Amino acid sequence: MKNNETAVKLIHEKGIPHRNSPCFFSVSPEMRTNCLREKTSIFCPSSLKLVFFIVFLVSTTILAGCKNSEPVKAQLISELKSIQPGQAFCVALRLEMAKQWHTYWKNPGDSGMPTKIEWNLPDGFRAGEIQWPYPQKIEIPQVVSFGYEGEVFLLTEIKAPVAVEPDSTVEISAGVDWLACKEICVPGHADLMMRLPVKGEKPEPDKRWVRRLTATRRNMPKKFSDWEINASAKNGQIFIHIIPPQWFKKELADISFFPEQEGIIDLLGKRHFQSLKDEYVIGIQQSLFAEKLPQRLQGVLISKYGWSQFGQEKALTVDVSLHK
Amino acid sequence: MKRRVLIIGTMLTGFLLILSPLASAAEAQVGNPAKDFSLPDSTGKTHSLSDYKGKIIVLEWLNHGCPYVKKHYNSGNMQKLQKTYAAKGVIWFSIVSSAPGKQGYMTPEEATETVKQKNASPKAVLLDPEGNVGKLYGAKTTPHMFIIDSDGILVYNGGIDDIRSTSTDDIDKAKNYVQMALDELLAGKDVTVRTSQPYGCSVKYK
Repeated sequence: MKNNETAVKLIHEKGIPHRNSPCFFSVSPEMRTNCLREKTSIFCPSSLKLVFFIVFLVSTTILAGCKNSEPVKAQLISELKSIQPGQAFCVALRLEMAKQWHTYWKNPGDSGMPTKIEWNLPDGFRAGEIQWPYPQKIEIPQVVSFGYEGEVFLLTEIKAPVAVEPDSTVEISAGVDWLACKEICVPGHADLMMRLPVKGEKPEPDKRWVRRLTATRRNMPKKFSDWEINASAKNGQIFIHIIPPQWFKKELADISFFPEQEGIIDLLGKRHFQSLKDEYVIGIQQSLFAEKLPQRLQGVLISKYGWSQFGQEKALTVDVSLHK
Repeated sequence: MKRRVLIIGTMLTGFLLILSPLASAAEAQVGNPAKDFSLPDSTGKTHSLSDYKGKIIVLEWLNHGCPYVKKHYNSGNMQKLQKTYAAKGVIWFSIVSSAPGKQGYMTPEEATETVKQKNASPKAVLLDPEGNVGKLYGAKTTPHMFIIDSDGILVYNGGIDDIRSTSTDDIDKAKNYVQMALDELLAGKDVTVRTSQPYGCSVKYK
């Protein structure tokens, strides 16, 4: 214990500032003079190298621990700078993951847990379900998960009641829970709040977020009515039939299906992709955990070419009967 | 003629390969005989599944660093299950498939010490640092539970219960599939819920 204390005191000596935080410790400045006066002290040159080495180890451990304690930063943001009575507006939970860390999609896959938001809204305000942009597939031995690295905006539509007082300020609060994983997993929680003014006039967009929210919307799974999607289950497999529209002249390849429901599809299993005369068929192994198949297959089909004529939107919502 | 047979044969094989389910899925499929294996425990003794013929066996994939495992150990839930069913003759193995250096890995000494610390009562903690038995069973998460009946058939493969969370508050609210299956087996009945989506941290394989 004594060694620890003295090592900690040297952290300050080395110029790392003292802060009121578990990562940093307060220090007395007299240490340096001890070596000159008392040659038997551990601060004397002969044992100083060993002490510096211990300090290096301790400080890197402490700093590493500090970084890992915050793998995710959460923030509530509003698309608009103000709200109008009776109007719906978009709010986003912005999650910033530290490098190599990820949080999860609504179907986390084989492991993990989806981010949850519990809204605390003023009277009469109603929040919708989370709108999830399409995730990345994360693969490690035996486990396939769906999640987000870097930064993600999870959108929620909130509707203001007609009766909200004009020229007032409302507080939008949320309790957020997530699971952040890299090699190991750390559950996280944040209590977030933002204030928005209520105004009679049409709200202005918050310029800081326009670009990123536009990109998020582009990554939201959508229905594309010109594509025909059918699903069937047979012989322990699930087949997804994709019939392209007339205007699609390319050759579909690199299609991924991310199921919304857990326990239907074997996420580890190989997909068989067939290009037939009038349609494409993806064959996927059913999950070991699928005792009973559901009535409908729900999920997202991702195509690198995009599903609309302008190619930008890569995620198609699948919500079809599962024919057996 | 020979060439035609060869072409047709190849096409047929290819066609069958496309339609046949992946071999690895059969390994941990409920209703199939559980695959035998041998692993050392934390005291150095080797256990094979076949040593316990005629017994009901539980396999519990373990990693004490995982928040989901902590949920079941800090609450005493896992220890309670181990103790209750050991008293009824069930053989309970905790298995660690974490590779050295990865979360959950324990040396034999650490494993023995941890059993004492956690007041756990598995028959043994089996050490699988190579991950071979984990992969044989397709263990995905910690915890991931497997139950083998006294005829050696895998009768349960899945999560410990039906609430996928790290909160100890959810334990009493959840349906404990392991408890349900063991009670049914001990009463001479068939297991009604044979699989469920396992939840937890991914097993930290090599």
